[in-house]
Amino acid sequence: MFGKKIAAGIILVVLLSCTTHRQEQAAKRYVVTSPEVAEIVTLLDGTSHIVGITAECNYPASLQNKTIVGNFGQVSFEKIIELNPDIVFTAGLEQNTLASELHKLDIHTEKIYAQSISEMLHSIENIGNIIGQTKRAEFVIDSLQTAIKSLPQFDVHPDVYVEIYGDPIMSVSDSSFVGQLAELAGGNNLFDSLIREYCRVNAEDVITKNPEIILITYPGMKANDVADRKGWEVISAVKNKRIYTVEDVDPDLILRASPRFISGIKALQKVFYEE
Amino acid sequence: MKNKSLLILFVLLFAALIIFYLEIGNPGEHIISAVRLPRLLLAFLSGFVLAGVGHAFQVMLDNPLAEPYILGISSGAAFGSIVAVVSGFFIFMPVFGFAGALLTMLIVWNLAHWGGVFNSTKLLLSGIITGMFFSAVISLLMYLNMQDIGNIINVLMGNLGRIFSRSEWNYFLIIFVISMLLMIYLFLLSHKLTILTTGDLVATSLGIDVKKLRRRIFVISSLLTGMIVAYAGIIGFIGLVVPHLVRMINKGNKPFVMVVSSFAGAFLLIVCDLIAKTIAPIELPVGVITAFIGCPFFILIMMKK
Repeated sequence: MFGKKIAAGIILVVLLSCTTHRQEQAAKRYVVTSPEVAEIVTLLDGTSHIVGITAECNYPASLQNKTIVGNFGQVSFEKIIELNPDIVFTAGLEQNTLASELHKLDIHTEKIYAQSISEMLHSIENIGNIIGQTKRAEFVIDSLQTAIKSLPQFDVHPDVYVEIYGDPIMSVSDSSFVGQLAELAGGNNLFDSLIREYCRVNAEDVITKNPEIILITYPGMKANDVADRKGWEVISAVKNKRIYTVEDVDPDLILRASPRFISGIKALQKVFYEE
Repeated sequence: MKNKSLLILFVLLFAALIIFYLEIGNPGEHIISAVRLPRLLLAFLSGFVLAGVGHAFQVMLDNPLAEPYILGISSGAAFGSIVAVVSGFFIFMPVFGFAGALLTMLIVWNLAHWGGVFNSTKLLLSGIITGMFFSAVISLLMYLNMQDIGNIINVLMGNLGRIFSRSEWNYFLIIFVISMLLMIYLFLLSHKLTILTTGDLVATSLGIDVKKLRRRIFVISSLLTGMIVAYAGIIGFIGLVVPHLVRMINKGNKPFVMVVSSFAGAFLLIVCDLIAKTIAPIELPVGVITAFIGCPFFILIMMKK
C-alpha cells in the first residue's frame, strides 16, 4: 500500500515536472529585429520560437511566414507587444530607443550588435546561453574557427576599394565587418584607416590610391556606371574591368555579421583572385 | 577711382583663389582637369547664380530678406532629386530635380494668380506655402528612407562634389552655357528692375510693363535656381548675404550691383567649398560652411544699418 503511494507520488512529480518543462519551452517566444541575429537563432535551432521578425530577416527560408514587425529602422512597438514575446533581440543604432521603450514595459530585451568577427562569435555564444543552446553554440563557434583557419592564404594582396554607397561615395575602414572580411580574404583595403567604420571618401583619393579591384556592395550601381565616372578611367580596376557589384558578391554574405561570413570570404576570394 | 582699384584687387584675388583651389596639395594634372575643374565650375556657377538671383528677388519683392529659395523652388527641386535617390536612380537626380523645380514654378505662379488678383505679397505667400508643402514631403521621404540619409543630407545642405559621368558632364557644360546666357539676360533686365523699386505706378508711367517684367524675372530666376539645386543641393546664405554686402560697398541699387553680386557670390562659394573640403577629416556639406560664414556677416550688415 505504502509502496503504491510512493510510486503514485513519483509518477505525479515526474508528470508535473514534464508539464512545467513543456510550459517553460512553450513560454519562449522571440522577436528578432536584425537579420544577423535571425540567422544565428535559426542556426541554433530556435526557428520555432521566433514569432516576429523585421522585413530584412530574409534568411533562412524558414522565416518566410513569420510575422513582420517593421523594418530595421522603424520597428512597430505595438506589433511587438501584440506578439507577447519573452525576449526581444534588438540591434544597435536606431534600435536603442526601441530597447529602452521595451525595457520600461518590463519586456526582456537583449541587444546584440556585433561589429567584428570576434564579436560575432561572442554573439553566438551569448545567444546560445540565452536560448538554452549552449552546446550547439559551442559547436558552431568551433566549426567557424576551424573554417577561418582553413581559408586559403595568398601571397599577393590586391588593392581593393570597397564602396558601400554611391552618392556621396562612401567606403569602409578595417573596424567595419566588411572591411575585416576583405582583409581576411586577402585584399588590401585602401581606406582601412578611415575615422569611422563607414565614411564618406573623396573621388580624388580613390583615383590617387588607384585600386586594382572596386567592389560595389549596394544595389542599383552597375560596373559600367562606375567605369563611366569622369576621371576614373585611369584607375587600374577600371582599365582592367575588375569592377564587381552585387551580382558578383551577395552583399548579405559580407555586410551581415552572421555565420555565413565564411561564404562571404570565399566569394570575395573568388573575385580578388579571379584569373 | 576707388571702385576701379577695388575691382582690380578683386580680379587678382579671384585669379589667385582659382589657382590655389586647383593646385592645393599638388594633385597632378589628371585630377586637376578631371575632378577639380568640374567641381570649380559647379561652385562658380552656383555662387554666381545664387547671388545674382538673390539680388533680383530682393529688388523684385522689395524685401531685404528675400533670397533664391523664398519662392519654394529649392524645396521643389530638392523633392525631385530625393525622389530620384529613393527610387534608386542616382544618375537622374539633376533631371528629376529640375522637373521638381518646374512643377513648383507652375504651382507658385498659378497660386499667386488665384482669384484674379496678383501682387508681390501674394507671390511671396504662394512661394512660402508651396515650399513648406514640399519640405513636409521631404521629411516624410527622409523618415521612410533612412538608408539614403547621407544623400538626402547632401541635397538639403549642399554638395559641390558631385561625381559626373562622362555623358553627364557634357550635359552640364550645356547647362553652364545656358545658365550664363540667362544670367546675362537677367543683368540686362536689372536696369528695369532698379526702376521697379520706385513703385509699380512710377515704373508703369516710365513705360515698363511691370507684370511682364516680374514674370520674366520669376521664370528665369526659378529656372536658374532649379538647375543649381538639381546639381548642388540647397546652399543657403549666398543669395541672401552677398547682395547686401555688395550694396553696402557700392551704396545704392545701381544696375551693376547684380553683376558684382554674382561674381562675389562665386568667389565666396569657392572659398566655402575649399573650407568644406579641408577643415575636417571628412568633407562637410558646403551649406554648413556658408551658414557659419553667412550668419556673422548678416549680423554685421544688420548692425551697420
